[in-house]
Order: sequence, then C-alpha cells, then structure tokens
Amino acid sequence: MSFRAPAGTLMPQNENQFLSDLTNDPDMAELVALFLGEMPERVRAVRESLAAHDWTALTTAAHRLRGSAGGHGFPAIGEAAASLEDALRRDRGREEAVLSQITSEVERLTVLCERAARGSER
Amino acid sequence: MTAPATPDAGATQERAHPRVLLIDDAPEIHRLLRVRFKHDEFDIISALTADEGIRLALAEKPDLILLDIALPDESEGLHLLRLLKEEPATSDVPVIMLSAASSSRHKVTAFDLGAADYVAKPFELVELRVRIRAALRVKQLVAMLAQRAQLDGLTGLWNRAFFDQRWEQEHARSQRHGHPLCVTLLDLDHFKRVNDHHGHPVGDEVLVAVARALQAQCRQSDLACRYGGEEFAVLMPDTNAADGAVLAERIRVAVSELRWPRVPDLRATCSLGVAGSSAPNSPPPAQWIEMADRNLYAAKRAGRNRVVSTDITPATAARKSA
Repeated sequence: MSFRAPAGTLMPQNENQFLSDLTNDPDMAELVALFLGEMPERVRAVRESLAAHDWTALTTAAHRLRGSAGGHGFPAIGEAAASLEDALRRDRGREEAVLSQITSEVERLTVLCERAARGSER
Repeated sequence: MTAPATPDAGATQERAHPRVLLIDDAPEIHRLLRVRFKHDEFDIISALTADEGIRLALAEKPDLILLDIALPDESEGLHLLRLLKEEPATSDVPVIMLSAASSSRHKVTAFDLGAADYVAKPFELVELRVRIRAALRVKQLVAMLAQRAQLDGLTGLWNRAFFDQRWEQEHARSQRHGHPLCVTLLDLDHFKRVNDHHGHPVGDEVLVAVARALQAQCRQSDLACRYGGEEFAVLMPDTNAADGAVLAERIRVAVSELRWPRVPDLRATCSLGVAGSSAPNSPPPAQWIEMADRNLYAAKRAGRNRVVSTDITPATAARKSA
C-alpha cells in the first residue's frame, strides 16, 4: 500500500500561535484532548465505511474532519480529509471504478489520524 | 415583529451580544467555535440538523446564520438556504455558507439564493471570525437604514408610513384576539400663528417639544408618530375608548404646560380626537382614522385645547359586555 508522505503531519501551519493557545487556554487543551480521544472511533468508522462501500457515510466523515481538524491544530488531517471528500464527490456514482484511489486517500487520512492520536498518548 | 415604542431608544433591538446560529452536523465544529470564539462579541447558538436549524432560526431570531452546505448533502444545505430566504421572518438574516471550495457550481447557486458570504472548509478561524464580524456589521447598518426610513427626521418619532403599516397590523391583531384598541389624532392649535409670529425655527422647536411630551405620556406599548405637518397620531394597543381618552387628556395637559425659555410668552395647545373599541367586529381600519379625525375637528369647533372621544364598540358587543 502506497501513500504520499505526510509532510508536517502533527505541526499546525501557525504553530506558535496554536501552541500558545494550547498552553494559555485550558479549554482549548481540553478540546484537543477530546478531539484526539475520539480519533480511534473516527478511524474505525472511516475504515468500516470503506469496507462496506458506504460512500455517503465516508463522505460525511471526511467532510467533518475537513471542517474540524485544522481548528484543532491538525491542518494536514484537514487537507487529507478535503482531498478524500473532493474525490468522493467528484466520482460520485462511479466509486467502484476508482476504488484504488479512494482506498489510498482513506489510507493516507487514517494514518495521519492514528499518528495524531498516538502522539496524544505520550 | 415588535418595534420599540420610542424609536430613539435604539436602532435595533439591544441585546448584550449579537447571536450567531451555527447549523452544522459535526459536533466537533460547534465545540471548537464555542471555545475559539468565547471572547468574541457574539454568542453561538447550535443546530446539528437542518430541521433544528430552521426551528431555531424562527424561534431565536439570530443576527447571522452559519450554514454548512453539505448537511449531509449539498442539496439539503441549499434547500435549507432557500427555505430561510423565502420565509419572511428569516429572509433578512444574513447567511454565511460553509463548505468545500471545489464546488463552484454550489457557490453560484448559494449566492443566487441570497447567501451573504461563502467560506471554504477547511477554514482558518481568524478568517471566519472577520467574516462573521463583517456580516454582523452590514446587518446592523441595514437595520439602522431601514429604521431611519421609518422615522420622522425632525422629531425622531415614527413617520406616517410606519404608522399606517402598524395601524393595519394592530387593527388585525385586535380583531383576531378580541382585544380593545384605540387611536388618537392630535393637531396643534393655531400653529400657523407660531410660525408667523416667531419664525419657522421656533415652530420646529415647538414640534420637537410636543413630540417629547407625547412620548413622555405614552406607555411602552403605545406608538407615537408624526402624522403630518403639525399633526400627530398615537396608536394605543389593548386600550379602550375611555382609557384612551384619559391618556389623550394627559397629553393635552402636558402640551399646554410646555414652556420655551427663549420665547417666554409662547404657549402651545392642541386638540385631540379619539376613537376606541373594546371588542372585535369593529369597523375597518380606515374608518377608525376617519372617526378620530371627525372628533379632532369637533374639538376644534368646540373651542380647541380639548379632547373629543367616541367609543365605537359595536352595539351587540357592548350589550354583551354590559
């Protein structure tokens, strides 16, 4: 299975601003912990949707991550989710024909998500 | 649709903070925006579904709506936008669409349907924040201009156009609920003489002072307006003819007691005509105004500086309530 190297996976684009928000704002730190704590469940749901070829559920999951990951300090996850959502919407109705591409998009996204979640367990 | 009785109390309904309704099916977005915008000068109301969104838009009257277009499907988000823009109670509320940037077809549709702005996901929170602020600013300016168009420039009272519109509404409401209703017309006595003897600037001062006296006597629920040159009107909801006449008399006295330090000998008096009813099945709205106007001229003929009032409660209803 090949996927693009996740550049800058864990570091938000505006790293300093975000880290300072994290340290200065306990609410935000709590929110990030919550977001990461939900990650295994999210990854499981995404993988199950792919396995079941449930494209609607997969699109919804990707759309949610697209909107929320960046705000929690994980823009790379947001970008990967956006790329997956765009692919699903573009190829709606012919998902089976582009299954390998969708699979690799999902793989790329879930690996980033798992890394983020593992990072939180340290 | 209740406007304040005293227009100069504020251009828009004064709330502590403007309220932003977020319609998005992702709970994590709600959590995130609530925390990241907790110090901003707007409050967030949350809806996780389209149905909840339309319900809260109607019930809470937000100042701005953030709507995720993919909720969970683009067609559903756009359908909700159409509903919000077609519904009179929400059509003035600006809507910022949140969605995937790739679907430019949907952007075009969203703007055609009346969206105020479009923010692509993933969005930078700083960008979303300034777009929210910009949309709230525009909303406030539009509301101010809309209200200014309903005010009399000299006295700050509601103008005739606004009065006519509210009169129809209040009349319909009183008919529907069987509530009493009263309308009073006021005309300054010998106002032409004031202008002739003291000049128009003093005449304007008199009009402004009368407007203030009128507002001071009116209750919160009354609606005072400048009806014409030196003519004023007061709409008194939930007020019967007898109570309306009492209020009209108080207004008459207040006007007669007005003084102007720069013109010590100047006095103003006014004549008032009142028409009120205690029950539904009363005449159509225009006939009330005619009756109040007839009473106003009866007061003039009887020597001015007085109130003439008529109870136009239909005889059948009057007998029932007697």
